[in-house]
Amino acid sequence: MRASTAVPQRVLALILSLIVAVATTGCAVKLVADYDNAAFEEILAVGKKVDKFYGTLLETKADERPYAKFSDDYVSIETDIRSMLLRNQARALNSESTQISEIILKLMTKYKDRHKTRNTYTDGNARLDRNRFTRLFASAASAEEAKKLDTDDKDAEKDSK
Amino acid sequence: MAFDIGEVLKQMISAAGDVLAKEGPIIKGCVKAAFEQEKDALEEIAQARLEGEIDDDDLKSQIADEEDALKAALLACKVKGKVAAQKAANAAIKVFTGALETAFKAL
Repeated sequence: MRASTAVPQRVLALILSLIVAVATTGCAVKLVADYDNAAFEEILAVGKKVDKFYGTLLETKADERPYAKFSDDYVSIETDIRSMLLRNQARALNSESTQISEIILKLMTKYKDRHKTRNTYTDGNARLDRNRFTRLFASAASAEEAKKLDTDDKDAEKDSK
Repeated sequence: MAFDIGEVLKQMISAAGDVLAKEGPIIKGCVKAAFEQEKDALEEIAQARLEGEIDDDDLKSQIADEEDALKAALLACKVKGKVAAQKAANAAIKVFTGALETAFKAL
Protein backbone atom coordinates (compact mmCIF):
# COMPACT_ATOMS: atom_id res chain seq x y z
CA MET A 1 0.00 0.00 0.00
CA ARG A 2 2.77 2.32 0.94
CA ALA A 3 4.71 1.46 -2.23
CA SER A 4 1.73 2.15 -4.48
CA THR A 5 1.36 5.72 -3.18
CA ALA A 6 5.10 6.38 -3.21
CA VAL A 7 5.45 5.85 -6.94
CA PRO A 8 2.86 8.44 -8.07
CA GLN A 9 4.38 10.92 -5.62
CA ARG A 10 7.79 10.40 -7.20
CA VAL A 11 6.30 10.90 -10.66
CA LEU A 12 4.49 14.00 -9.47
CA ALA A 13 7.69 15.26 -7.93
CA LEU A 14 9.48 14.73 -11.23
CA ILE A 15 6.78 16.56 -13.18
CA LEU A 16 6.76 19.40 -10.68
CA SER A 17 10.53 19.68 -10.76
CA LEU A 18 10.34 19.91 -14.56
CA ILE A 19 7.69 22.65 -14.35
CA VAL A 20 9.77 24.53 -11.78
CA ALA A 21 12.84 24.19 -13.98
CA VAL A 22 10.94 25.51 -17.00
CA ALA A 23 9.28 28.28 -15.04
CA THR A 24 12.50 29.44 -13.44
CA THR A 25 14.74 29.29 -16.49
CA GLY A 26 12.71 29.61 -19.63
CA CYS A 27 9.43 31.37 -19.05
CA ALA A 28 10.32 34.77 -17.65
CA VAL A 29 8.97 37.58 -19.76
CA LYS A 30 11.39 39.93 -21.45
CA LEU A 31 10.01 42.85 -23.44
CA VAL A 32 12.90 45.32 -23.48
CA ALA A 33 16.66 45.13 -23.90
CA ASP A 34 18.90 45.09 -20.85
CA TYR A 35 20.25 48.45 -19.69
CA ASP A 36 23.50 49.29 -21.47
CA ASN A 37 25.69 51.71 -19.57
CA ALA A 38 27.93 52.30 -22.60
CA ALA A 39 24.87 53.28 -24.64
CA PHE A 40 23.70 55.63 -21.88
CA GLU A 41 27.13 57.30 -21.66
CA GLU A 42 27.24 57.59 -25.46
CA ILE A 43 23.87 59.39 -25.47
CA LEU A 44 25.17 61.90 -22.91
CA ALA A 45 28.45 62.41 -24.78
CA VAL A 46 26.85 62.92 -28.21
CA GLY A 47 24.16 65.13 -26.70
CA LYS A 48 26.86 67.29 -25.11
CA LYS A 49 28.74 67.50 -28.40
CA VAL A 50 25.61 68.64 -30.27
CA ASP A 51 24.86 71.21 -27.58
CA LYS A 52 28.44 72.55 -27.79
CA PHE A 53 28.09 72.77 -31.57
CA TYR A 54 25.04 75.00 -31.23
CA GLY A 55 26.68 77.00 -28.46
CA THR A 56 29.64 77.73 -30.73
CA LEU A 57 27.37 78.49 -33.68
CA LEU A 58 25.27 80.93 -31.68
CA GLU A 59 28.41 82.63 -30.37
CA THR A 60 29.47 83.24 -33.98
CA LYS A 61 28.06 86.35 -35.65
CA ALA A 62 25.04 85.48 -37.82
CA ASP A 63 26.77 86.69 -41.01
CA GLU A 64 29.87 84.61 -40.25
CA ARG A 65 28.24 81.19 -40.33
CA PRO A 66 28.98 79.77 -43.78
CA TYR A 67 28.46 76.02 -44.04
CA ALA A 68 32.14 75.35 -44.75
CA LYS A 69 33.10 76.73 -41.33
CA PHE A 70 31.01 74.03 -39.64
CA SER A 71 31.21 71.12 -42.09
CA ASP A 72 33.86 69.24 -40.09
CA ASP A 73 31.67 69.47 -36.99
CA TYR A 74 28.70 68.11 -38.92
CA VAL A 75 30.74 65.15 -40.18
CA SER A 76 31.95 64.36 -36.67
CA ILE A 77 28.49 64.71 -35.10
CA GLU A 78 26.80 62.67 -37.83
CA THR A 79 29.37 59.90 -37.35
CA ASP A 80 28.70 59.85 -33.62
CA ILE A 81 24.92 59.71 -34.12
CA ARG A 82 25.30 56.87 -36.64
CA SER A 83 27.41 55.00 -34.08
CA MET A 84 24.67 55.53 -31.49
CA LEU A 85 22.08 54.25 -33.97
CA LEU A 86 24.15 51.19 -34.87
CA ARG A 87 24.63 50.29 -31.21
CA ASN A 88 20.88 50.47 -30.69
CA GLN A 89 20.09 48.50 -33.85
CA ALA A 90 22.44 45.72 -32.74
CA ARG A 91 20.46 45.09 -29.55
CA ALA A 92 17.40 42.86 -29.49
CA LEU A 93 14.12 44.22 -28.08
CA ASN A 94 15.35 47.76 -28.58
CA SER A 95 13.07 49.21 -31.27
CA GLU A 96 12.09 52.36 -29.34
CA SER A 97 15.66 53.48 -28.66
CA THR A 98 16.52 52.69 -32.27
CA GLN A 99 13.65 54.87 -33.48
CA ILE A 100 14.72 57.75 -31.23
CA SER A 101 18.25 57.55 -32.67
CA GLU A 102 16.80 57.52 -36.19
CA ILE A 103 14.82 60.69 -35.42
CA ILE A 104 17.96 62.40 -34.07
CA LEU A 105 19.91 61.42 -37.19
CA LYS A 106 17.08 62.49 -39.51
CA LEU A 107 16.84 65.94 -37.94
CA MET A 108 20.60 66.51 -37.78
CA THR A 109 20.87 65.59 -41.48
CA LYS A 110 17.97 67.91 -42.29
CA TYR A 111 19.56 70.86 -40.48
CA LYS A 112 22.94 70.18 -42.05
CA ASP A 113 21.37 70.16 -45.53
CA ARG A 114 19.48 73.37 -44.78
CA HIS A 115 22.69 75.02 -43.58
CA LYS A 116 24.44 73.84 -46.73
CA THR A 117 21.67 75.12 -49.03
CA ARG A 118 21.26 78.52 -47.34
CA ASN A 119 24.93 78.79 -46.37
CA THR A 120 23.86 80.32 -43.08
CA TYR A 121 22.02 79.31 -39.91
CA THR A 122 19.71 81.89 -38.36
CA ASP A 123 19.60 82.59 -34.62
CA GLY A 124 15.91 81.69 -34.51
CA ASN A 125 16.36 78.27 -36.08
CA ALA A 126 19.57 77.54 -34.15
CA ARG A 127 17.97 78.32 -30.80
CA LEU A 128 14.85 76.22 -31.52
CA ASP A 129 16.86 73.34 -33.00
CA ARG A 130 19.26 73.34 -30.06
CA ASN A 131 16.38 73.09 -27.58
CA ARG A 132 14.81 70.31 -29.62
CA PHE A 133 18.01 68.27 -29.60
CA THR A 134 18.25 68.74 -25.83
CA ARG A 135 14.79 67.16 -25.50
CA LEU A 136 15.58 64.43 -28.03
CA PHE A 137 18.73 63.35 -26.21
CA ALA A 138 16.84 63.53 -22.91
CA SER A 139 14.24 61.17 -24.40
CA ALA A 140 16.99 58.81 -25.55
CA ALA A 141 18.60 58.87 -22.09
CA SER A 142 15.24 58.38 -20.38
CA ALA A 143 14.45 55.36 -22.57
CA GLU A 144 17.81 53.78 -21.72
CA GLU A 145 17.55 54.60 -18.02
CA ALA A 146 14.12 52.93 -17.87
CA LYS A 147 15.76 49.61 -18.76
CA LYS A 148 17.75 49.67 -15.53
CA LEU A 149 15.99 47.03 -13.43
CA ASP A 150 16.16 46.09 -9.75
CA THR A 151 18.10 42.94 -8.87
CA ASP A 152 14.85 41.03 -8.28
CA ASP A 153 13.53 41.95 -11.72
CA LYS A 154 16.81 40.98 -13.33
CA ASP A 155 16.75 37.58 -11.62
CA ALA A 156 13.22 36.99 -12.80
CA GLU A 157 14.06 37.62 -16.41
CA LYS A 158 17.14 35.45 -16.80
CA ASP A 159 17.49 33.30 -19.89
CA SER A 160 14.30 34.45 -21.47
CA LYS A 161 12.88 35.80 -24.67
CA MET B 1 0.43 18.20 -1.34
CA ALA B 2 -0.87 21.78 -1.07
CA PHE B 3 -1.21 23.38 -4.49
CA ASP B 4 -4.41 25.36 -4.90
CA ILE B 5 -4.25 26.74 -8.45
CA GLY B 6 -7.15 29.12 -7.78
CA GLU B 7 -5.35 30.65 -4.81
CA VAL B 8 -2.06 30.78 -6.70
CA LEU B 9 -3.74 32.55 -9.60
CA LYS B 10 -5.26 35.07 -7.21
CA GLN B 11 -1.81 35.75 -5.74
CA MET B 12 -0.29 36.04 -9.23
CA ILE B 13 -2.88 38.65 -10.25
CA SER B 14 -2.31 40.50 -6.99
CA ALA B 15 1.48 40.54 -7.50
CA ALA B 16 1.14 41.83 -11.08
CA GLY B 17 -1.45 44.38 -9.94
CA ASP B 18 0.86 45.69 -7.21
CA VAL B 19 3.61 46.27 -9.75
CA LEU B 20 1.29 48.01 -12.20
CA ALA B 21 -0.18 50.19 -9.44
CA LYS B 22 3.36 51.36 -8.65
CA GLU B 23 4.50 51.78 -12.26
CA GLY B 24 1.28 53.27 -13.66
CA PRO B 25 1.74 56.79 -12.25
CA ILE B 26 5.33 56.84 -13.57
CA ILE B 27 4.11 56.15 -17.12
CA LYS B 28 1.26 58.64 -16.79
CA GLY B 29 3.72 61.25 -15.52
CA CYS B 30 6.01 60.56 -18.45
CA VAL B 31 3.24 61.10 -21.01
CA LYS B 32 2.03 64.24 -19.22
CA ALA B 33 5.56 65.68 -19.16
CA ALA B 34 5.98 64.90 -22.87
CA PHE B 35 2.88 66.90 -23.79
CA GLU B 36 3.75 69.75 -21.42
CA GLN B 37 7.20 70.05 -22.98
CA GLU B 38 5.61 69.96 -26.41
CA LYS B 39 3.27 72.78 -25.48
CA ASP B 40 6.23 74.89 -24.31
CA ALA B 41 8.15 74.12 -27.51
CA LEU B 42 5.23 75.09 -29.75
CA GLU B 43 4.78 78.33 -27.79
CA GLU B 44 8.46 79.06 -28.28
CA ILE B 45 8.15 78.48 -32.04
CA ALA B 46 5.06 80.72 -32.26
CA GLN B 47 6.92 83.41 -30.32
CA ALA B 48 9.92 83.15 -32.64
CA ARG B 49 7.65 83.65 -35.66
CA LEU B 50 5.86 86.61 -34.05
CA GLU B 51 9.21 88.25 -33.30
CA GLY B 52 10.41 87.64 -36.87
CA GLU B 53 13.22 85.28 -35.85
CA ILE B 54 11.92 82.67 -38.30
CA ASP B 55 9.85 82.97 -41.50
CA ASP B 56 6.75 81.03 -42.60
CA ASP B 57 8.74 78.23 -44.23
CA ASP B 58 10.80 77.82 -41.07
CA LEU B 59 7.61 77.83 -39.02
CA LYS B 60 6.19 74.91 -41.02
CA SER B 61 9.48 73.05 -40.80
CA GLN B 62 9.81 73.65 -37.05
CA ILE B 63 6.28 72.36 -36.41
CA ALA B 64 6.98 69.25 -38.50
CA ASP B 65 10.14 68.63 -36.47
CA GLU B 66 8.16 68.93 -33.27
CA GLU B 67 6.05 65.95 -34.38
CA ASP B 68 9.27 63.93 -34.33
CA ALA B 69 10.32 65.35 -30.97
CA LEU B 70 6.95 64.43 -29.43
CA LYS B 71 7.18 60.97 -30.99
CA ALA B 72 10.62 60.49 -29.39
CA ALA B 73 9.35 61.58 -25.98
CA LEU B 74 6.41 59.16 -26.24
CA LEU B 75 8.72 56.35 -27.35
CA ALA B 76 10.63 56.80 -24.08
CA CYS B 77 7.30 56.48 -22.23
CA LYS B 78 6.54 53.35 -24.25
CA VAL B 79 9.76 51.78 -22.98
CA LYS B 80 8.64 52.54 -19.43
CA GLY B 81 5.29 50.89 -20.19
CA LYS B 82 7.00 47.78 -21.54
CA VAL B 83 9.27 47.64 -18.49
CA ALA B 84 6.18 47.84 -16.25
CA ALA B 85 4.49 45.01 -18.15
CA GLN B 86 7.68 42.96 -17.93
CA LYS B 87 7.99 43.53 -14.18
CA ALA B 88 4.30 42.67 -13.64
CA ALA B 89 4.48 39.46 -15.65
CA ASN B 90 7.65 38.35 -13.90
CA ALA B 91 6.21 39.16 -10.47
CA ALA B 92 3.30 36.84 -11.31
CA ILE B 93 5.66 34.13 -12.57
CA LYS B 94 7.71 34.49 -9.39
CA VAL B 95 4.56 33.80 -7.31
CA PHE B 96 3.79 30.79 -9.47
CA THR B 97 7.28 29.28 -9.20
CA GLY B 98 7.31 30.02 -5.47
CA ALA B 99 4.04 28.14 -5.01
CA LEU B 100 5.36 25.22 -7.06
CA GLU B 101 8.57 25.07 -5.05
CA THR B 102 6.59 25.10 -1.80
CA ALA B 103 4.36 22.28 -3.07
CA PHE B 104 7.43 20.37 -4.22
CA LYS B 105 9.08 20.64 -0.81
CA ALA B 106 5.90 19.37 0.85
CA LEU B 107 6.11 16.06 -1.04
